[in-house]
Amino acid sequence: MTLGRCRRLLMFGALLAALTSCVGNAATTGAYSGKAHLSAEAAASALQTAKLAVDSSAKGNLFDSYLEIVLSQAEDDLGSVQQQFDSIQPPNTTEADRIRDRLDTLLTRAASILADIRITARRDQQAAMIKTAAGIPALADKFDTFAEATA
Amino acid sequence: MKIFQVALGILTAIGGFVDIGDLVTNGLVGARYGLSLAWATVLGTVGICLYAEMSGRVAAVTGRGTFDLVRERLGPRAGLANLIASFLVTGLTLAAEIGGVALALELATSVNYLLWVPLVAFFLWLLIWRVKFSYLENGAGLLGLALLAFGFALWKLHPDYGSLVHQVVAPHKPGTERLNSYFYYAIALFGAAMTPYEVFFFSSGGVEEKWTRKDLMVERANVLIGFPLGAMLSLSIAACATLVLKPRGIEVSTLGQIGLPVAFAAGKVAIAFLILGFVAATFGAALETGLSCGYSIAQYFGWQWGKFVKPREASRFHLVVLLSLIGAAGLVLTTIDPVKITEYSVVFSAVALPLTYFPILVISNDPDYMGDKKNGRVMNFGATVFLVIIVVASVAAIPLMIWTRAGQ
Amino acid sequence: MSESARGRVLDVNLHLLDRQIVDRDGEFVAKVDDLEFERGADGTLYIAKIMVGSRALGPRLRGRLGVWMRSIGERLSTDAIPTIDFALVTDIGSEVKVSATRDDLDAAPLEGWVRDHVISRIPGSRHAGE
Repeated sequence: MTLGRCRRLLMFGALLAALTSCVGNAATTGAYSGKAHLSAEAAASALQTAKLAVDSSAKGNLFDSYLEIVLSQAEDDLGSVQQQFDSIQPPNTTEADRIRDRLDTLLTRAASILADIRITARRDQQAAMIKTAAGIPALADKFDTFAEATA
Repeated sequence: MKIFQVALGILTAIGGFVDIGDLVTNGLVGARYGLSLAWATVLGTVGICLYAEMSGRVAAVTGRGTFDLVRERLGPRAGLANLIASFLVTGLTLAAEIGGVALALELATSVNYLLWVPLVAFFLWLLIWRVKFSYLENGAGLLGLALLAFGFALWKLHPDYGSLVHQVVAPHKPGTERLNSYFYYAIALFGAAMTPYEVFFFSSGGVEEKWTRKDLMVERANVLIGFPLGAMLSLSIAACATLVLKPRGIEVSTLGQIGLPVAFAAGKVAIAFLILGFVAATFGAALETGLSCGYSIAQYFGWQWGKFVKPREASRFHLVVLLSLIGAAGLVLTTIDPVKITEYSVVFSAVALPLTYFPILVISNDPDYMGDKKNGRVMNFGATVFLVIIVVASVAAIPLMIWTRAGQ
Repeated sequence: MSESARGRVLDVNLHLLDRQIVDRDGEFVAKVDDLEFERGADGTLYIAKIMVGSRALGPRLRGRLGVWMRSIGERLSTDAIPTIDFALVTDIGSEVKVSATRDDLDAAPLEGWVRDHVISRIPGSRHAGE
């Protein structure tokens, strides 16, 4: 294979990878709002996953290992949502800053709840775990409201 | 005795139908689109039934695998293009399946999935090396029936069956979803149902099990009864996701989420069956894809292949299988998310379909090979219609993948 | 080759090239990758040998893939390209049957190498999984 062909192939592969996964910048408030919307939905998904797993476990329907894995994956998902959202450069408007602050607050609270659930689950403190998880629906509602506002 | 054989074949086909691609794609789509994309699964199932029947018939009548005949019938260049496309996609699928087994074992044991990968690859190789072909097929297929836990969970959820059926027959894309992602996932479901390796494996397996014309009825029963019932299993995975995950706004990105509806509705015993089913289905598919990597290369070059001879008499074949397993395991060990690998493998399967399916249509139509058992007019009509659909899906796949950023 | 088959006119593309070669016991040998011709006393072309292997197949594939295949073959072996004497062919149908056994033909040196250096070293290589 010639060098030129090789280079072209690598460039195509890199382009394909980039096109299918870019995050990057959000030039306008509208675009930024759209990204915030997706992040809010993803965060709500992680919370609801944890809640569903806790509920199933509370009914005695889930093995400990399965519960642990689902909870840790939900936490990881939330963490990467927060990380990805924070890495986006917001446009220079007050609206964008407002969106950023609000979502960050919600994301931090979500991270804290999921961490608590993970800890109580690993300590086999089922009652405490269920109690913490009881706070999820309210928080998920807040994410939903936020998502609607940023749609 | 014949009835037993037919029943065994059907059960094996049902349990063996679902692989990691079906699990992930149906779970993901059910949680996001409800059952409005079930038509794509149904379409893909009809397609694979048609083409598997043709390739199985080729094996029973000629005693040769379809890949074996592709180079003869279409020439070495077309055959090589077919080989490269099939081998790469099958290798990617193999990696996805190995990842799937590891993820399932992680759910069962809390041991990180990466640690399972080398062990899984080793066991795959060991079984391919030592265990009789029919034991592998039947064992994995029957154990895969444990996925009926999804059907059980569906029943326990007491759904409004009428409403579910309505979603299937009168598909309605959710208003918040864009049309391009909708069709992207239609292609993904299609590719998940019509995996390229399946037809080549089916025909090579027919040679392994020494099918003759007398076995045609059994072969047809496997395909025409077993596969559709297996597809029902796929649909039940989607339905469970629709009923439990979608209302909660859960976006599927892990294998664990796909099983949660069963936990929610059914209980620990069902979850135990579920995990057994996950492992059996993905392990079985890994065996098939691993063997298919060997079949495709060996058949193109005319090497002795197959488990029906001693390993030392098919040395190059076994070496290719070994290297494929190592390569696929290596890909998983790079810590790329196996669910992501799966999502890409089903789309690339759709891309490779025309190259891998067209030769089957040609060969099963050729009276020189098939004699009086060549395709009838109805079969040809159906298969040709599907070829058009396959080409459309294949051409649209990559542009849609880019346009929707892999389904976002 | 029987008397009645000698002098048969073949469309080599349709009936011979890329066909599976099968030995006396029905075992797979190789594919007909290429053919070597010779001119008879009367000037007509007869098939002298079947050529086997990646160095034989490479030149038939046009373009880069062909060059690549041939160079892999050249890297693996510096001996002459394996051939099968066409006189050994007993039947040309959907497969090409030859009258010798696979071991006698020695048309696939790579198979032997892999067998001796890799596969034989793994326990269980003599069992067909029965």
